[in-house]
Amino acid sequence: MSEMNAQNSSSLWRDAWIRLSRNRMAVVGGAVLLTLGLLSLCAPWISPYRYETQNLELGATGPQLTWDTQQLVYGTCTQQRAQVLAAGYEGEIDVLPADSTELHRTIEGQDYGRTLWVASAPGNTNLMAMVITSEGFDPLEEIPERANFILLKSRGHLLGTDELGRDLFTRILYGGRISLMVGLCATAVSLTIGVLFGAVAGFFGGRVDDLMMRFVDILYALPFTIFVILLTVIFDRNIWNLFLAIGAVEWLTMSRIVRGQVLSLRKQEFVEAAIALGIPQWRIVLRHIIPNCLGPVIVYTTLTIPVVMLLEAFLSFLGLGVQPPMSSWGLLIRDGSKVLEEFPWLMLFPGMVLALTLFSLNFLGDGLRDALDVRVSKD
Amino acid sequence: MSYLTVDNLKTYFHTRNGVVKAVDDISFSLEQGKVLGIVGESGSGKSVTVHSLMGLIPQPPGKIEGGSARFDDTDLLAADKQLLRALRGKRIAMIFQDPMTSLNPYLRVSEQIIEPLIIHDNITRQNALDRAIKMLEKVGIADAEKRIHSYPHEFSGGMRQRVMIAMALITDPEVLIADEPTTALDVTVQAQILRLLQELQDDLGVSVIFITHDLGVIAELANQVAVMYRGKIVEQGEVLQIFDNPHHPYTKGLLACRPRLESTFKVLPTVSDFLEEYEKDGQLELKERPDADTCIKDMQQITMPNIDHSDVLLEVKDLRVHFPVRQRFFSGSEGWVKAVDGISFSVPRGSTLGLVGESGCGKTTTGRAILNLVKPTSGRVKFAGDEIAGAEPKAMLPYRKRMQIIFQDPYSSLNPRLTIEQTLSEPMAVHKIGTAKDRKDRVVSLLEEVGLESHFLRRYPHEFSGGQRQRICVARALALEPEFIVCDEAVSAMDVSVQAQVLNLLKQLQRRRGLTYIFISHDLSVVKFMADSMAVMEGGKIVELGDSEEIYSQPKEDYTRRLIDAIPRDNVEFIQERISGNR
Repeated sequence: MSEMNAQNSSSLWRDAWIRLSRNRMAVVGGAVLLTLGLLSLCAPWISPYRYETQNLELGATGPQLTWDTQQLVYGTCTQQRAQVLAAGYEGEIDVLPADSTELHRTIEGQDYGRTLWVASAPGNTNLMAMVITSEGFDPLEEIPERANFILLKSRGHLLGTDELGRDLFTRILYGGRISLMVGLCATAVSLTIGVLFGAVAGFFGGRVDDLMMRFVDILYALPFTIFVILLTVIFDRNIWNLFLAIGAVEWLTMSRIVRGQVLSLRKQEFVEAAIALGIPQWRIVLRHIIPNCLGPVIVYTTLTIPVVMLLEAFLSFLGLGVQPPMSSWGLLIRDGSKVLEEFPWLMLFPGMVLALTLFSLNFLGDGLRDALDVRVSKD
Repeated sequence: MSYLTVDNLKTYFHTRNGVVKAVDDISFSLEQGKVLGIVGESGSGKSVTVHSLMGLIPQPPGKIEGGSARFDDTDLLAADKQLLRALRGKRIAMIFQDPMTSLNPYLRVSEQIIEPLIIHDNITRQNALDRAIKMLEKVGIADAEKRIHSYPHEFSGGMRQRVMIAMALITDPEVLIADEPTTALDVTVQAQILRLLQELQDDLGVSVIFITHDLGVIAELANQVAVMYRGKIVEQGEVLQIFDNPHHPYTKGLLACRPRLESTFKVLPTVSDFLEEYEKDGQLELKERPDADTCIKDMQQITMPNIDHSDVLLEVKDLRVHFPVRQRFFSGSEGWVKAVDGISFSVPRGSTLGLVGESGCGKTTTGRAILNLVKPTSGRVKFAGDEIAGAEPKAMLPYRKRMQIIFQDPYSSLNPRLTIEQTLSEPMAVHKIGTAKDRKDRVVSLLEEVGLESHFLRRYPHEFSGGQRQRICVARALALEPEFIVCDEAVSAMDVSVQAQVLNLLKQLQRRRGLTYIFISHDLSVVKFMADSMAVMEGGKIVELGDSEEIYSQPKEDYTRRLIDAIPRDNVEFIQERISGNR
């Protein structure tokens, strides 16, 4: 390509960029997506918890909008258990005296917040709880003579915890890494294969088109679950196979859409003119045909991304792709939906994040489509 | 007696880019039993006018800003929707331009014809059907009793337009509005439809508003004529006066810029030779150019260079292009459509061969087969002595530079996503002609050659009008400096004034560059203007081939004669005869 063409096309992209930046909804959508992406990337520095840390004693707790005010105390029966708990815990830890009189003395005058939990003594299988306030503690059951107590200072859970006591906010951040990456990569795969395949089939038409489209039909006819199970059998379970599996299925519809577009574009006289001018076929496809399919392609892409994210959840459920304790938005929603009645926040928050992402994608997609359409007037 | 009186009608469109005065203060009246022709080019507001009367203007963006349209005692512009609905289709009926899209393809014709009857006249289905059959017979559909139960796709274009007319007339309307009813039809079919409308109008005494861009059609049919330009009626009067003694320079320009069979012009006058436009106080002013007459005289002096008939550039021998009918994947095809079936001709260097015929006669396929855009089934195409029929793309490459094509539709023949500069420089880049800088200079000079300014370079096709786009297409065809260009209905989609400009441009380029053309058109008068020799095609075969003057003056074949007879007659003698004979 000559410099002149390069200069021109750069101006095309610059024009598109200017048009895009004037579209407020698209800008907001883009900003939201960028923020979500950055938050997910920086998850270890943002959240004090790790996504895999369980806190069985805590269980599912609702969202606590206060931050850094609440503390938790676990009393354990043995030194060993105390250490186990302490090891899995990243908050500050005070080991309290085992003797209850000693305990009284230690707690006295210190602010431990309002709610504190104290766990069981040796031989006592039931957990027991008590509330410690700055005035003292109020045992719900009698505290045994000798027990190890350990005071865990926690920072609370912004969006609550799941049944295993894992911090939901942290899990959403880490899940975002998977979901956004799947959305991006699998869609990119389906976009590339779908657009090229569809464009070639549509452009050459006739027998080539017949063959290529029958191939697509065959893939369509293959039950997705079986296809995926086949893949899991043949390949290792890892995230890249996940992209492969999703990409391999999602491009089918894209290729049909593009083919339809190309079939009608091919009859347009500018394509015939290009042939008459001796422009090579690959160049006609890349330069004259594909750019003119952009509108529907962009719209379909923004529709593909959520589908891909939910597919990922389904695949993970089957055992291909993300494995616990790692999670993704799709998985979080799937898990949350099972306990919707008891712990609604477990579905609500990941659902809201996914919805927010999709809204942003749609606005951004619409903005992109308009920005790339040179026919939209310049003012 | 005046029947429908329109006074000071104003319809404006409020768009984002400002107010478009589509119809700007026009007045006219339709007399009972007469035909009022409204003639104008695209964008002149002729369709908006009748749509305003029918309450069919989309509002917003459109708005009727003022005026009245009195029909009987009703003001159509002020009438409420219910009243309008009762009038529409009952007392005022309408025929649209495209018979292919104006009928619902999923409903039998019978259902569509009787629908207005059942809605407005409240009669039984059987009675309605009987009337519909009678009406179909009247509009010339044979075997109407059976045909009425067919679906629209079982009729040809002309037949469909007849059905549309039957549908419009079935409620015995007093006013019939025909919006370009023959524009989408072949010239022979157009002649039949015009004759039919004339007969029906005499027979039923219906008053007609006939909208068209074609003065020839007006001459065949109208009693009164209103000429519209840019939302205003610039001239109106009796049809004979308009043709015999036009007053307004725009009317004069319109009449002059149509290529006519009997004229011997080598260059066509254009509207701008007659009309000067300037803005005064924000208002558009039109004035006649003082030097119009000398201008026209000068034009007649221009002659074309002589042609050396022994120097043959293109020779086509026994060319056949057959398309398979409904090809199946395994079973091959069920039959063949012989689009081009054994035609032979040769084109001397620097001359123009006109290919004429009705739609479906194979003229377009011939043009494409010569350029190898469709693969010929058999036959030979010799270009400058080399055999190129069915050549592979690689082998064809050197010839791509030397032979080019210009298409009919200037809207679909430019890639909407490329700037004009990209469009024009791409072929040169692909053929590795010059450096980037050379190419840019070439693009600028090409634009100048086709009469466009160089600051258009960075614009996209949608920013241009149809005529400008066709100039860009011409520039693109010239980018590789070809010797030979196929013009495939290159001016068919254009207004007459723009058509004249593009035809002049093509002629001028031919003179300057010694180009050889194949000029494909359904319009015999245009071909007659352009071509030195011509071939009349029918059903994939050439029925008559020879010098174009000779063919026009003494057509040997019936088919050719029919084509020539079908051209609307717009000479004053004919109009005089028609008016005195009929009324």
